[in-house]
Amino acid sequence: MTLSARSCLSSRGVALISVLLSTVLLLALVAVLVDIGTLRLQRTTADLFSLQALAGADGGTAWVRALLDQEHGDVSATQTKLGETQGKRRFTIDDHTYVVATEELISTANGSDNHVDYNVQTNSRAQEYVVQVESSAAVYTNGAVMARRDTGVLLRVYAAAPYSEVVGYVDDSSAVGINSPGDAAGQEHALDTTDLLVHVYQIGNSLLTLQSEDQFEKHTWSDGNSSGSGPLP
Amino acid sequence: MRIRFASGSRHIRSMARGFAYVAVFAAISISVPGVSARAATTQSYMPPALASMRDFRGRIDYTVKRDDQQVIVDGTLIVDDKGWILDERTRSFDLHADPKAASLRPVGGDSVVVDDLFDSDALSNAWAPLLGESASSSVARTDSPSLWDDGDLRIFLDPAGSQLIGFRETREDVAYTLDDWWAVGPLDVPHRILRLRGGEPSASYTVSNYVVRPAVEGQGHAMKASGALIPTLAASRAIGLDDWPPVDVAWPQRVAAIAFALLVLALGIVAWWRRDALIEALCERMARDPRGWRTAGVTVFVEPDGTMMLDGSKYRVGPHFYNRAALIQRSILFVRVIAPAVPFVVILPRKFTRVELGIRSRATRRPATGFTLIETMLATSLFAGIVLLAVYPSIAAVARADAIASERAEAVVLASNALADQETASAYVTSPSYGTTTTSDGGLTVTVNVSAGTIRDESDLDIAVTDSSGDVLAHVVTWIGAGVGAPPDSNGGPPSQ
Repeated sequence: MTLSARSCLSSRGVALISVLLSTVLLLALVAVLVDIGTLRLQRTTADLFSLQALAGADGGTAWVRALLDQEHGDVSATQTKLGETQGKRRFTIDDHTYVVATEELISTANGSDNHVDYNVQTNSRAQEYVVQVESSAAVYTNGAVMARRDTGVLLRVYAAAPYSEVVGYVDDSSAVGINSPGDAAGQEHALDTTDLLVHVYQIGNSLLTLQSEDQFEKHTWSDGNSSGSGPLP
Repeated sequence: MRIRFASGSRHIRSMARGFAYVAVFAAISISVPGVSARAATTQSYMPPALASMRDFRGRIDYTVKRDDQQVIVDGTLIVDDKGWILDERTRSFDLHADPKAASLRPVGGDSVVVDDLFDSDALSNAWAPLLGESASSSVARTDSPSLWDDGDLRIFLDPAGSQLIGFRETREDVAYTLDDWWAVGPLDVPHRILRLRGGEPSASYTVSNYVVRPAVEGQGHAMKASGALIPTLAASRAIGLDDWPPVDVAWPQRVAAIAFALLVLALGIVAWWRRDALIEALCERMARDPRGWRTAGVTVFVEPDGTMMLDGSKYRVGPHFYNRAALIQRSILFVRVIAPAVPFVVILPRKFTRVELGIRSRATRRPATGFTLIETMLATSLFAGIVLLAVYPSIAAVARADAIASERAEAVVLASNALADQETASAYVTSPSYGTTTTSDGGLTVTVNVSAGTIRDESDLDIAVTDSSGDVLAHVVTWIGAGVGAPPDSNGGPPSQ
């Protein structure tokens, strides 16, 4: 008779566990249904976060150019200014979402340079620089990273207004890699193109002639890319 | 007469242990607010709006724009136990203030002393120094419950004392009204400020981008031990304020919700494990009510092992009833067993068997143990609750998901196009054109707003795509750099002299 009582209790326990398991199974099926049924919505939301991150990366580059403007084209001072905030800047999209843009400047380096840019003006009185801005932006929602985008922008930096100019842009998440964006130091004039070089002239002895003091050199620099010459970065 | 239940004392003891664990858990969950509440009751009464300002220590960053000008002001307020420091920076001047003095320093010029900070047009966010004053000096109540006095300042509160309406200087005829309050971290902060001179509005400001970083206990003591405050960025870096994370209001709410859910879950688990004890406790309560046993009893035979059969179900009542005239009384939920020579009563939850419809042969039907009615109701309600709260909303959401996704995908494309267009257009425009442009496409409205940035040669770009009901489907924010105009035609020769 004791065995019979235990059997009754055991049957009740099995029945209760069966009810709970069926409930859990139902919830699991609902979760799978929701996950599959909202795939397109999830993709759209991911696209929006990606767009917000891309806008943040572009905004970071604009911030670097504004700092170059503040520092009158002084790359070192701009790097110092960036270093004060560890190269980070944050802006808010809404109450739950914000973007943190991280900027890094890559200038001339020795050694394994894999970019060759001609026609960079190196005359000390009107020197120009070629600087690559690596911009990375992450979108946070309620503190969790939802998307991250990286861009590489090539800047031509001058000591006079407008102090900087975008001459190349690479979206690192693009499906197709593109080559290094052209001649970063501008182009010489031709029949159907205007001259985009920085020239230096000195007034001659006769005060009526201008003597060219251009010092265009083959200027090599690195974008920090570990691979050989080719796509940026 | 005593009332006995099968294994009742063991169940009740274990149930008591379970509830003791839950009680300890609940006590831990609510202990911290409890301490705070006790501490609060020991302090003198002060309206909540002023109390939160008085107790604040830390740093606040904000951005201010005067409504009739394009000037953007970046402000920083640091409050600690020794005082406060306010810095407001623009492109043309920097304003610095502390409890003792205020000064104005134009870019590239010498500092000029400001004798009355609140009367100065250079001050943009007047609430910031008011917060500093409230935190570093005593605020006394006046005869009117809605008026509080800080010596040089008179503060106006709403009748409930939950919000500041404004304040004025007692010596000068300068007053401020504060509006559009929002909670940021532990503080309510105003987003609209109006300066009044002689009762007439003289300037209005819009404050935004508040970042409130309260000082944690250890850092607060570190600031106090390090001596006087050091102004501006160097000070904030020196005391590590830049490393403090911004307050995420949703985080403590989420933690509290999780703690509450865990508490409810723990209670549910304990209640389910000890359901027999709970049912027996209910039996005991029912047994004391004689109105539930008015029906006449029937006499049954109890087996030597203490079991009996009633209405096709087997009950275990105990061997004390063997060989005695056991009387059974039934109610809707319970069964009561008594015998003349047994000094206690046994109350059991009533069991129900399936109704026999005569369809299946009796030979093949196995005896069913069955649930009690309470267990059946609990399981049914659990299942129904899940269907109503989880299954139906999920089906509704899935049914609408594709339509929502299509609309959002279109909004993302519109926002992406607007972003690319505006960035390209701004790349060649040397003088930025500020303003808002609104276009409609396919029932969606694209709003592109270009405004002056917080630093020179930078513009803020805000793109929002809304549907016909005004809900924002896509929102993109970025900055735009200075444009570079097209170069003049040149063949590379020297410039004309």
